[in-house]
Amino acid sequence: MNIPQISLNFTALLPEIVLTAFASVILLTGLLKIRNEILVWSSVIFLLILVLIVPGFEGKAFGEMFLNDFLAVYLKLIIIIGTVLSLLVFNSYLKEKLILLNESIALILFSALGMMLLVSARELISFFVSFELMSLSIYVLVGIRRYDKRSNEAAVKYFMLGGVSSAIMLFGIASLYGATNTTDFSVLIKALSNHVVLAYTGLGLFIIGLCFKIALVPFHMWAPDVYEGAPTPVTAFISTLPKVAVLGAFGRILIEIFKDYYIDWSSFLIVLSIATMVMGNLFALVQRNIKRMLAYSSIAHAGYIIIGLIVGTQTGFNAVVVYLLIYTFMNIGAFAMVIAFNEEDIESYKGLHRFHPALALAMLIFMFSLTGVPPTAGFIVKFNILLQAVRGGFTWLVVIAVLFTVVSAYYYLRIVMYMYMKEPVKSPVPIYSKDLEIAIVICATGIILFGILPVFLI
Amino acid sequence: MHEDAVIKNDINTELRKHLLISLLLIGLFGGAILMFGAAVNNLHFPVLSTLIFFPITGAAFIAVLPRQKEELIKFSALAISIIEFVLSIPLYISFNKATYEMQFREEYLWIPQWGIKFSLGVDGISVLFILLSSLLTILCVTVSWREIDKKIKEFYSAVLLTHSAMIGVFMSLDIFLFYIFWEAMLIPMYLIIGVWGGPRRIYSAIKFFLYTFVGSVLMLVGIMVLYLHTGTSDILTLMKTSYPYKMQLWLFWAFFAAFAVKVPMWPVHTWLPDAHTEAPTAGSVILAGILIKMGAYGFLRFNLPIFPEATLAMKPFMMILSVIAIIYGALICLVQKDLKRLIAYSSVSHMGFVTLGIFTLNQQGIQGGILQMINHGIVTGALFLCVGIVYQRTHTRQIAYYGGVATVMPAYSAFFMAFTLASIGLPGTNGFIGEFLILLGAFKAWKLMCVLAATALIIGAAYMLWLYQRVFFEKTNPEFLHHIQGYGDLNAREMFTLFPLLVAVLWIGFYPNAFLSFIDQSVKELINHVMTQGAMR
Repeated sequence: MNIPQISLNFTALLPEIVLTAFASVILLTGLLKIRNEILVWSSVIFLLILVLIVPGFEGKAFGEMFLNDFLAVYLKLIIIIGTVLSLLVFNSYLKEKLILLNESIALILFSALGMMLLVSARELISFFVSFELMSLSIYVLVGIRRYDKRSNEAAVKYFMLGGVSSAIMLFGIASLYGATNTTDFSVLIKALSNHVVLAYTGLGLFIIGLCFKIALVPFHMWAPDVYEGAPTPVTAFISTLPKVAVLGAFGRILIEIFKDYYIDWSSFLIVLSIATMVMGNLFALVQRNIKRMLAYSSIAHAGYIIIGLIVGTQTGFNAVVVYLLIYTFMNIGAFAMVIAFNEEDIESYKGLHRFHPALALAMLIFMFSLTGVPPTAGFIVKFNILLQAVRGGFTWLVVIAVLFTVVSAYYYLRIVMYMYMKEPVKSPVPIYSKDLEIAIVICATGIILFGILPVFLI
Repeated sequence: MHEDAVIKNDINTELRKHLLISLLLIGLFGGAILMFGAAVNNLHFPVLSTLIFFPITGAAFIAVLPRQKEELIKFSALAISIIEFVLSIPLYISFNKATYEMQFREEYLWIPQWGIKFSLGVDGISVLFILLSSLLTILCVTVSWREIDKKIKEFYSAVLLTHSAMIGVFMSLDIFLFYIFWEAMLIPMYLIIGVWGGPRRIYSAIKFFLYTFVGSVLMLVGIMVLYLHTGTSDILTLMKTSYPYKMQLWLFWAFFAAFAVKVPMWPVHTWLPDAHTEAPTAGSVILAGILIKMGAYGFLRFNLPIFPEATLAMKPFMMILSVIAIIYGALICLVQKDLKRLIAYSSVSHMGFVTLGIFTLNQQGIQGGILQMINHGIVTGALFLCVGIVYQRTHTRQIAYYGGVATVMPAYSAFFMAFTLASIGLPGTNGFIGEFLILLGAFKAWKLMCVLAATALIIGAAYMLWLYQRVFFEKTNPEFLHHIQGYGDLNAREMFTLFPLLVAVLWIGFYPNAFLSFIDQSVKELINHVMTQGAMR
């Protein structure tokens, strides 16, 4: 067998290596008695330093297996910022519910590591390994409240379905490998043209595996249950960042590698996108639990996001990436509010404004941003995606999307309506902590700032 | 307690201090701005963006004031709205009526990646709405003085934010910016109706939001298509470009969706009575005075100049829709039992006149339509203020409950009479001029429609006079007498609220040229543009 010479080039991989080391150290601190604050804040500071250095490490490593280009760096920044916000959100909750802290932090960091590797992966094996690194950490996180039945159930459900999706994806990978005798994306694409049937099967299964993770209808069944059952900070984490990573990777694979098969996968995605917008929005309408409502709404958002992929152009994909950034702010912000308020029943949001005007205002911003009403950033990024779709000739799809935006306005506004217009049923006792406040403030100001000055965004 | 007594108790030293400070501020700002005003065009003072951002800053200022200092909050809101009005006076003084070109232009690069500019400018049409909006905002603040008793600072912040967004709509010369303001306005308005409104406020607020949102998002798709077709979002450039006929038709309907809901035209008008009825007085005034005008303004600014061929093709259809709204709205008014609901349905009828005027596509019709928008803002705004005044005393709006109001509240009755007559369109009031011009235009365009619309004038007189008779002349309800006892007739604040509108009614009624001269050139150019472009096919 002929083994080609490849350049290892560890430097391009340096941020990931450092992160691995750091996460391992955090895991080991369980042996020592270190105060929670120190762990959380040292991780936050570490990640912030990582934010500064990541842009400096563009390049390739291990031949073509690992590519760190501008888009990958951008996605990694979103992932790291999202992780910082998640950690801040996590901290107050862990104190409240007495959960093993260092393990949670380590798991979050490992999961983030998986995501970072995922968006750089240029080869099937490393793609799959980072995908699983991300997923396995999350399975544990979902079940981290060991004595809570809902949390356990969610973890089992997620694990089972996640396992199935991984198996499907692996089968797809195997087919692709069988068809082309290579795992390298760039070689694979050249070899594909000769083995059409197997390639199509592989590609289809591969896409389905990814769709599971993004919770596109009809592969969404696990999402509401898992989002509801998981501890709320974990929900904030898993409803945003894996989507960022997987959609990022998804887009790169489809648009850069499988671009010759555009007609096929785009028509497949169009069907999924419409189904996702319809089902996600309609089911969100009838939810009485805010976590479930946000779960269905985030399913619906995935439907909007993949419109950017359907366009099949680089600008369309860029619009997706920007959307993911703002989506991270909006969703983590909204879940942070759920934690701060410590209630899941929508009814109990009645009259929140009376007691906590600042919290209510932040929630108002998140809700209007999720709806896509200017002057929030949610509008700008949605406009950006839909603009690309119109440019690509998908005006009819855009009309469907905006009409379902109106549907979504109904359930987002219901929260605003409960907070501002209903009489309170009881005086809520929010969990107030500095970390949570910081996270909410960052999210809210980010949304308003990018909404008014989108120059920095696009 | 007697309201005057309440006021006397309130005027303590602190209050006097606030009053003094506000007046001082008004004097200082006003004087300075007026001095600028005369020379504003030469000095390049950014008067438009000041007008937009001043109320936003004011709203933020009010939002950070301590909640307990209610008087301070109210006086700040009053001062801010008065200063805003004073700031808008230069628009009236130094506006050049001899040209249709956009004036007071401002342009800053905003989103360079998309070539979108923060571009502002006004022509004669928009100047009038900006002035009207500034005036009505002051009155909204004064009328809410006693009516709004919860979440006061949020309320005044919301009113000021709405004002900013609304005048932003009238000033935008970039279609994207236009849309931002157009939508941003929904948020505070939704809260105003939903938080401070009547018993069915939540239903009405959601209905209002969803109806307008559906229309707006369809317009958004239209905006995207326009933007991608021309590569620019500059409204003036969009007007100059010509589009294929089929595309014009589609886009006409996309924009129509947004504007027809806003106007509201029949059959998408059903949100309006609900929203009007449930909104607090200030909310009704904003809705009737400015917000629903934006639909008609949108027709003038987008549908007519950008899609001239489609406009010409759709003209009969639009005229028929307008006449249906006129007659239908008037007939529904006859059977209303609620004061506010009656005035709300009369808005449907009056706005039907406006769209009828616009789609006659001739000088008289469009001028009349624009003037009628201003008139409707003044008269309906005034009528809502009047209803708010008695509602605050009695907490009911049922027409049957009232009776003999004229005997106990003579000054109020006089004001109400004047506005009723203006609403009917009696010569000498502003309503007459507007309706006359519209009918003149309609006669030129399509005689049958003119005749049908004119019959609605009779129904209009019937429902308004009948309303007046029932409320003011019939046998006095003893319960009402009991309620009114503590309050008496209008107090000084209420007089101050209604008086400017009465002046406006008579001013336009006797000397319409003071306002018509503003729109003369713009309308001429608009018709010229539509006819030449539309005939090219």
